[in-house]
Amino acid sequence: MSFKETDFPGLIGYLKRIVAEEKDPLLFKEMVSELVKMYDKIPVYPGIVNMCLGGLARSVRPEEVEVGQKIFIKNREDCFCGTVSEKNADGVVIKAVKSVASEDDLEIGFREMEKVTLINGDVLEEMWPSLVFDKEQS
Amino acid sequence: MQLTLKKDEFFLLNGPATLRVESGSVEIIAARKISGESVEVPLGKKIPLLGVEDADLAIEAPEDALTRMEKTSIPTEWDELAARIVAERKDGELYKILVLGEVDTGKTFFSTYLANRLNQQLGKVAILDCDSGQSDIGAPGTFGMLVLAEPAIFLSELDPTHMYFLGAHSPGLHFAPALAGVSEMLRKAEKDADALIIDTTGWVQGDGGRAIKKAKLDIVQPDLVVLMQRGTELEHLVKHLSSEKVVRLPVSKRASSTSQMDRKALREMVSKRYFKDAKVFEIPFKQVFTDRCYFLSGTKFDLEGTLHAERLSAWEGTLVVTSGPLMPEQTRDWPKDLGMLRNVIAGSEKGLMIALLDKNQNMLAVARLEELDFLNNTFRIRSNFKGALEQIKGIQFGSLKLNEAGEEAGFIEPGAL
Repeated sequence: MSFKETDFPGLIGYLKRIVAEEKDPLLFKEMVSELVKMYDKIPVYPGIVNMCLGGLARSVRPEEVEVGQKIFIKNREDCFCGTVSEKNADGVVIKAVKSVASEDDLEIGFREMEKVTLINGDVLEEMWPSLVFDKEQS
Repeated sequence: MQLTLKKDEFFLLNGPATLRVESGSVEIIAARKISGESVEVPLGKKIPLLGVEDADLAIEAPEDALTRMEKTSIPTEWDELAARIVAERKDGELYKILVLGEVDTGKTFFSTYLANRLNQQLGKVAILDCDSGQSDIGAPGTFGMLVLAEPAIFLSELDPTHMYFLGAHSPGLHFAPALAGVSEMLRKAEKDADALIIDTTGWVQGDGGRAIKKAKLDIVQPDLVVLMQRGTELEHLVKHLSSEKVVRLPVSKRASSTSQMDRKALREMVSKRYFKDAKVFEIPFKQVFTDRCYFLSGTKFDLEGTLHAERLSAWEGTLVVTSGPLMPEQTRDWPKDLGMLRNVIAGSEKGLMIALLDKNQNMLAVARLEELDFLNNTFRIRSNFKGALEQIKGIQFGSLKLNEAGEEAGFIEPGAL
């Protein structure tokens, strides 16, 4: 064994993990897109991208989602993503829904949700604010 | 305020402050200041004042800037270490000391103290600052080496004797230049100094940290390795060394942590100062060789719809500079033997940190690339370089971007240009 010397294998490891584990194609695409976005921002720090990936996707209980959050939902029939526009005691209404089967607004009860994931697109800004620059400058 | 400092009394003075010795003498980080001498303490810095004899000091600072301490914060081991180095050093040989520690363990303070002590007792002492992300010597993104003519308090206030360009704040994706830089500076120190203190980065763990520290140890072959550690966090780096080569020093309780944003602010302060008097000038493409990039390393040829095209070596393909993203229809009529196309969009180079080199690849100055001007075939460059432009024979590319004021503005992927 020898040392890796760069942090790129960590990014490959992340991709291997989500290829093997992530069953939601919409969420998979979002996670890869966020990885690419972060890498484009800080191409000299793949290790920091890797560190931030740990905070990118967060599984939550269905009742924990809030209005305004972009969420990814998987149940036995389909996978959905969209922004929560309403929430009541029984469930949420999601606008601009993308799903594997169809695209429409969706009213869905908490009981129908098997897995709910939130994506934090600001994870780099939150974890490494010193590496965030004005778009105009960079 | 006036302070009468008795022999062996000890105070800490927080900046911003100005101190003037009116009589007697005082020791600050092993640098003795005598009657008539002054010291400016910048904001965010603090200095220890030790009475080596009774002294009268005039201090311009808020009342709470000065704190009397029970005893000196400088461990006696530091002076014992200096005495050991003086005793061990052989005439005509460079004595090499490598200082290891995590971030915020006081490596720079210790290195400065030791350099000042050795300067008094040994002669010419060089300090090599390998922390390109928190440079105390030279500009951020570089390794700076200072050969001390006399004891110094703030290394950042002095012009470096030599600089080596890394072009990044971390050796992470720049291993090869980082190690080449250590080797290059070592050669220079062998000519210029009697002792060399190497102040390293705090990257000491993980694959990369272990690999680069071991490589540095192998290159330098130090006479002494100083571990500044809180526990045993550095021991994995020195298991191959004989015990008499390793000195363990506890981290001072006064060593304070610096946040990410404070580190960035400190880097930008140094960078802004470096670029304060910078001017824009042009260097013809044909005047220089380029380094750490593909640009101008191949064979230039005309290619329709591009600002610049050059064939690179074998499978490296072709570098094409275009004014916008390359569209498939643009390349339809291009020769089929171009191989992999490396497309650079003109303007993406703006703000890139570069180094200006002389014919022997010595670094002349850090600069900011304003533009690759394909109309006139020149580099437009912003730098404080004061010498004759004919001296510039090479341009070395980095990965950091700066704005005109010297503030950090992003990165470019290594190998993109």
